[in-house]
Order: sequence, then C-alpha cells, then structure tokens
Amino acid sequence: MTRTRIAALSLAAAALVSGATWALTTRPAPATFGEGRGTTEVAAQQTLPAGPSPVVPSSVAPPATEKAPAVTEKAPGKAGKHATPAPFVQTFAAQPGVTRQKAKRKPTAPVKVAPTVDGCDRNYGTVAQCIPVRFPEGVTDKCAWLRDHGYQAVKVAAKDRQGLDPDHNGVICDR
Amino acid sequence: MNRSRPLMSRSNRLHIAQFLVLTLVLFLALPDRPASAGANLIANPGLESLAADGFPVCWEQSGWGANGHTFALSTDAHSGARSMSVTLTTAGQGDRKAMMLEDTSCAPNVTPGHQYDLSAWYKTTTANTVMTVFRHDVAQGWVYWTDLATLPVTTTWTKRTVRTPQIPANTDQIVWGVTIYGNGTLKTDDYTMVDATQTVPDESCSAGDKCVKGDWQVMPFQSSVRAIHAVVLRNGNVLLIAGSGNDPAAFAAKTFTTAIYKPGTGQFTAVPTPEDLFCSGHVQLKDGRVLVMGGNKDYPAADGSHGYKGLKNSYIFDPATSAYTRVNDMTAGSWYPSATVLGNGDVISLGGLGEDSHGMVATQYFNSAQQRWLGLNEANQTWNFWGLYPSMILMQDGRLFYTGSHVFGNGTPGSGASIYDYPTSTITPVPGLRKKDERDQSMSVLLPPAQDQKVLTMGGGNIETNPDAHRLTDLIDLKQASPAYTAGPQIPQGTMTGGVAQTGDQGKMYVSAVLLPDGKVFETGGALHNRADPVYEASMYDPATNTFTAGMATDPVPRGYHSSAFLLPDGRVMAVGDNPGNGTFDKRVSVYSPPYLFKGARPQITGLSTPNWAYGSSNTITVDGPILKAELIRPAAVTHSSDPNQRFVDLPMTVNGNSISLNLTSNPNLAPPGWYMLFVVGTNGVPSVAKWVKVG
Repeated sequence: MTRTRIAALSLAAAALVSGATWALTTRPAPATFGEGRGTTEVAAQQTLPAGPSPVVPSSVAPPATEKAPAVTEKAPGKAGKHATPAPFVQTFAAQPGVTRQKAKRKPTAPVKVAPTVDGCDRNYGTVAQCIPVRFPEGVTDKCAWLRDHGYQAVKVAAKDRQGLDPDHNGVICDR
Repeated sequence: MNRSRPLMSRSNRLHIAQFLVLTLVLFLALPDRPASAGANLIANPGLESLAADGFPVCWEQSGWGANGHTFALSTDAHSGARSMSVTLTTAGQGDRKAMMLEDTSCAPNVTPGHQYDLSAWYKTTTANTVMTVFRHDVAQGWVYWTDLATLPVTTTWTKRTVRTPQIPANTDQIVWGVTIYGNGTLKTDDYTMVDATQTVPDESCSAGDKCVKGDWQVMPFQSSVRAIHAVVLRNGNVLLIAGSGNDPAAFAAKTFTTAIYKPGTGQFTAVPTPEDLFCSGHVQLKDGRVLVMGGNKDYPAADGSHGYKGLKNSYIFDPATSAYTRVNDMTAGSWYPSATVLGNGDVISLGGLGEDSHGMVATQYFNSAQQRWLGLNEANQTWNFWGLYPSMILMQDGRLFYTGSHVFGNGTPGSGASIYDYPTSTITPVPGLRKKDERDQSMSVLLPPAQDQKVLTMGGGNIETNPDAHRLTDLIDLKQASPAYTAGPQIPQGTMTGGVAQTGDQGKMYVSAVLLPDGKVFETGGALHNRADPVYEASMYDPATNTFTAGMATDPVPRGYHSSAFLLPDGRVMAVGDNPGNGTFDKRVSVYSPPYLFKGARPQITGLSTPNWAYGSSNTITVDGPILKAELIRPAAVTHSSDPNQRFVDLPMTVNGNSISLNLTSNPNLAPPGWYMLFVVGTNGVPSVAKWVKVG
C-alpha cells in the first residue's frame, strides 16, 4: 500500500469517526418551526424521560380543569396591537369559611394607650433615657444592671415608683 | 503478468484525500453547539396526534370561572395540520388555558436547579394572556408555580420563548400553557421546552472567610444625624431622617435634622427639616419622591398625663431638589404609622398614636393622582386600631396582609395576623403566628420572589413584659386558599456583650432582614431586651430551602433600638443606628459585603432599552456574559425593623445571547409603581450593580 493510500485511508477513517461522533453526540435540535417541524409528536413522546411515577395525593392535587383560578381586577383591556394587558390576578387566600369582620362603628371613646407604651418608666431620667418598666427576668440588683448598661446620674423625674432612690436625694443608684 | 488496474487513479485518490481533509478541518472548526439545542421535552408538541376525545394527546382543556369560552382545533396552523384555539367571549371572571396533562406520561420531567426555555408559536387578539407554569412537588402534588410572560397581540404566527427560573427543590415535573383571561381568541402551536441550564463557572474564591461569611467594614466617619429612618432614593443616595432623633433637648430647641448620604463619596448633606419627623412613616411614591407622614408632636410627660403625641403633618421629599414640600395634613395625628404603597400608586397608612396620645383608628389614604390625603369620609373606614408600625404587606390581589410584626404594645386582641381588604372594609384573621404578643420589633419580609407570595416573620420581643427576645420564625404561603403561619427554622444564636454566648431560646428583637439580589435574605443586628443587650449575630436565610446559614460575619457595632439595615444599589448592605436605654446614640455606619462580592467578576448591564417599564411588557437589556436571573428590588424605606414595601420581583428572561428581554408582570400588586433597582445575577452567583428602572 502506498503512503498516499495509507494517508487517504487514515483521513477517511478519522472523518468517519468524527462524523459518527458528531452524529451520536449531537442532541436533536429544537423544532425550528419556521423551517419545517423538526420534531414529530412520536419523536417527542419518545424523548420523554422515563422517571418514577410521582405520587399525586388526590386530596392535594387540584382537579385538572380547575388549575389556579384567576380573576382579573378590572375589565380586560381592549384588544389592539399595542393593548396593555389587564392585571393577571390570582384568587389566592380566599379564606373559605372564615368570617369577615366588618367595619366597626366609629368609636365614641378614645382607644387608650398607656403613656408607658415604649416600656420606659417616665418617673426617671430624661425622655431620652429608658428605665425599664420591668427589668429582664433574673435581675435582682436593678442598680447594678443600670450601671452595667451605662446609665449615669439618672434623676427621679416624678415618683420613685421602683424604689431606686432610697436616700431620696433625687438621683437613683448613687449609693 | 499484467498489473491489475487500480480502482482509483492516483489523481482520484488525492482528490478524495483533499476532500476528507477539508471535511475534517471544517468539522474541527465548527463552533460549539448552541446551549439551547437540547431535546424538546414536550409530548405532542405540534398537536397533531389526537386522543379519543378529539383533543390533542397529552393536552387538556383547563381554566375556571363563569366565562363564555370555546376550545377548538384550528386548521390555521403554524405547521402541520392543526393548532389549538381558545376563545373567550364573556371574560371578566376566571380564565381558560390549554395545558399539558398532569400525568407521568405527558408532563415533562425536570431537574431541580435547572432552567428551561419554554417556547410556543401563537396568535392572539387580546393581550390578556400569560404563560403559566405548574410544578409537581414530590410532597404536595401539583401546585401553581409562576406566571412568566404576557403574549402581546399579533395576527401572524409569532414565537415566544421564556426561560424559567431555576426549578425549585422537590420538583420532578412541570406543565405549562398559555392562559387567556380577556375577550378574544388565542391560537397556539408547536410548543418546545429545552433544558437551558448554563455551566456554572469555577467558584474558586481566594478571600478566605469572606467567601462564606462576607465582611463588615465600619466606616471611618459617622452619620451626621441620628439615622432613625432610612430611605434609599432613586439616585442611589440615602435619605436619613432624625427629626429630633429621640432627643428631647433637640425637640425643645426645634432642632430637627435630615441628611442625604452619598455612598459613593461618604458625604452627608444637611436637609432643612420642617417639623419633628421622628417616628413618622415613609414610602416612595411612583415618581420616586418620598411621602413622609406624621411624626412626633410631643414627647411623653413625666407625670404620666400623656404619652407620645402624633403629628398630622405630611411632606414630600423630592430627591431632585433635596427639599421637603408640605402636602395637606393627614386626617389624624400619626406617631409610628405604617405606610404601604398600593398597586395604583396610592398609599394606605394605618395605626400609630394620634394627637391625643391615643390609638389612631382611622384608615388614612393618600391619593397619588390628586397628591393629597383623602378626608376621613372619603376613605373606607374600619375604625380598627392596628397598633404601632403594623407591618402591612401588599398581596397580589391588592389586599393587605398584616404580618403581626409591630412595634410596642402588649396583649392586643386577635390571632396576631390578618388580611385587610380596603375596598370592603373587612378584616379576616390569619392563624398560626406563635408568640403573637412577643413580636415587638420582629421583622417581616415578603420573601423573594414576590410572585411566590410567602412571608417570613422573624424574632421579636415585648418591651412591657421584657422577656428574653425569642428566635422563632414563622412562614406563611399566601397562595394557599386558607393561609396560616407555620413554624420556620429558628434564628441562629450569637453572642452578647463580653462574648457571652446566647443559650436556650434566646433570640433577638430589633432584627433587620434585607433582601439580597441573589435571592437570599440577610438577617442581622438585634438585641435581647428592651433597649438593652445587643446580640452579635448574622445569618443568611434561603427561601428556596427554608433554612438559615449561621455564622455570617457580624456587625461589630451594636444594632438595637433605632437601628436599620438596608440594601445599597451596589449590592452591599448598610447598617445605621443604635439607641440604648441609657440615652446615647451610636452614629457609626457599617457596610456589609456579602459573600457573593468575593466570588468573581460582576456581570455588567451594558445596555438598557428604556428605563420606563410598562406592566406586562418585555424590556431588553444587554449584558456581557451568561445570566442566571434578573430581578427588580424596591429600594428600602425602613425604620424600627419595618419595611413592608421591600420586595424582590422576579423577571423571567427571554435569552438571545447577550441580549436579554426581561418580562415584567402585568400585575401592579406584585410590583407597585415606582423606581426599582434592576439587578442581574451571573452564572457564578454574583450580582451586578443595579440600574434604575421606573415601573408603571
């Protein structure tokens, strides 16, 4: 066999292998519908992965004809080339069976909110400071807790409700 | 002996060899196969094969509502012999759609984490259409997943392709179709679905701990004001409002302050502040200006004769002029009012304390078109007291979900959470929130993406009874027919002053939760007790897995009462404020760089077709490389762990190389009008810097 023939046969073999590789590794192209269907329904069904059959709890799975009910908020938009779509709104959280609380009567008396709504005892310090109405659980020495948290020279602004000024000099925790 | 004549001449052999060499060279020079060139996963995609009922095999007629409709097969096909036609004649309630059958034979199998390009050829006489996807959850069965894109009106066969978000965990199949919900006719044909998952690049990271924990930096300067209220403006600057800043001396002197912080330069610019806007509410209007409502009319009296009093004043801050302009007064004084922007751009404000220190029970409604607060009798009233800074999140149908997160208060009636329907002035309770009376300065967020309609409420305490703040989180799916909170994962524990580790059920109030552009939620800051005992802890919550990743880097600055954290347009998180009970205020500024900022190059948005986006539109951007997802994040307007308008709106993509069309929902309740930060996330998980987009 001449060297030319050997070379030709080698190239032919390489081309065949390459062609076969190309043919085997190339996945089917997506259907290019403008150029004719690339995928027939039979072929498509054959490409469906064969996975395990998932269990669909009948109590959870919605009826096939009642998928995700949706309503429009307002009348659908007028059709036109540049029509703006109406909002697509789903009917989630309908809360069936839950009683809707209707509007109350306009109150004749104010809704009282304690002046200590922020949890601060206004008998002490400035408004910028906050002596807790109730100290955290486990605090046995309130003055130590206040010192540890950076409170300094806090005055009694009204009544010494929590007994933090035993010497009655108007400054808490100074003894 | 005669030599036999060769089969081919030397010349023939050379020509063949040349041909084969050329073939080989051409083969080797061919580009890689396009990423989208996968198998079509749709059964009977061209609708040519009919079942016994006369409808295409593997397809079903679906939808609901009392609407006149017709399903038909049409010979007007894109290819082959037939297409599917759905006609609505009396639309107004419900929808119709031809969907793939939800069975193991017909529904395409999918892989969690993968993305798929869904395509259909269509004609429609109405724009009231949307590509709708359901998924099969291995635990829940078939459930609604998401809506992808509106199909514009067209009289010629047009192909529409949309890429799904990453398939959620526990999903093994999806089905999809095109929904029609307006009067008209929709024809579809030749469906395709191909795996479009992109290669994830090498995630090597050389930044050490920062790769997994991120990194905090305390700025070498302090805020010029007590940053109790923070609003990210449409120009990327941050509006920091103090008013009197919880400083009665400043109040007495009428020294009210506001500053504009410029993250790019670290500069603060003072803004003349007309009243004490401390304890006000605030929200961005649809034009990007900021509506500020209420504030502090007076501090409480030492003798207990009155508590805090709410202002009726309201102002609009304009980023273009850096100035406040007064609008008409609210109908009632409002100290700690909520502020939620609606799908039409109007604003509802609920709760707070009135001018008399009592509970404010009016529904206060700002009409965006008229640029004024409606009168008491012009707005629908329930006369319900919602507490202080009630977290009211806009639902996809326009109702408000009261998450149960609030500020102050103790022992309020009810289940702690509810749904408020403004048009009908009705309220329905929502069950399941644990420790409803210990949700003071917890934080609620509408989880990414907003389309999922899930809310997480985390932490909280009670400033009156002052227990240890807890670490409970509760999660609710507002897509359910009867939504109820269910227990979420516990907030990870951190350390307190002196490095003391938290124990038992100790958690945090004053918590901040920030939606990040990679779709996770950064949880940071907080304290254990009423204005005391800061907790040094930060974690990353992943909505996709409902888990916290503990051990994120912690802000070295305590962030308790009057602290906030929020997302900057460059993808970092800024934290400000701390106001412990001793009356001091920490004005240091911290900035957090999440781990994604250490994981590679950031994708670049190199072009934006328009910054003005209409609902249901498709808007083209160009990028410099492969993109995993894109979204809009509404800029922060936060105070007291409350930012009910914070949301992350997914933008399903139509990908054509580096040109990507982003499909905006047609539903304004999912993305209320206004300016948003547009982020794209690269396949390496790294987000871009935001571009600003005006929606609606």
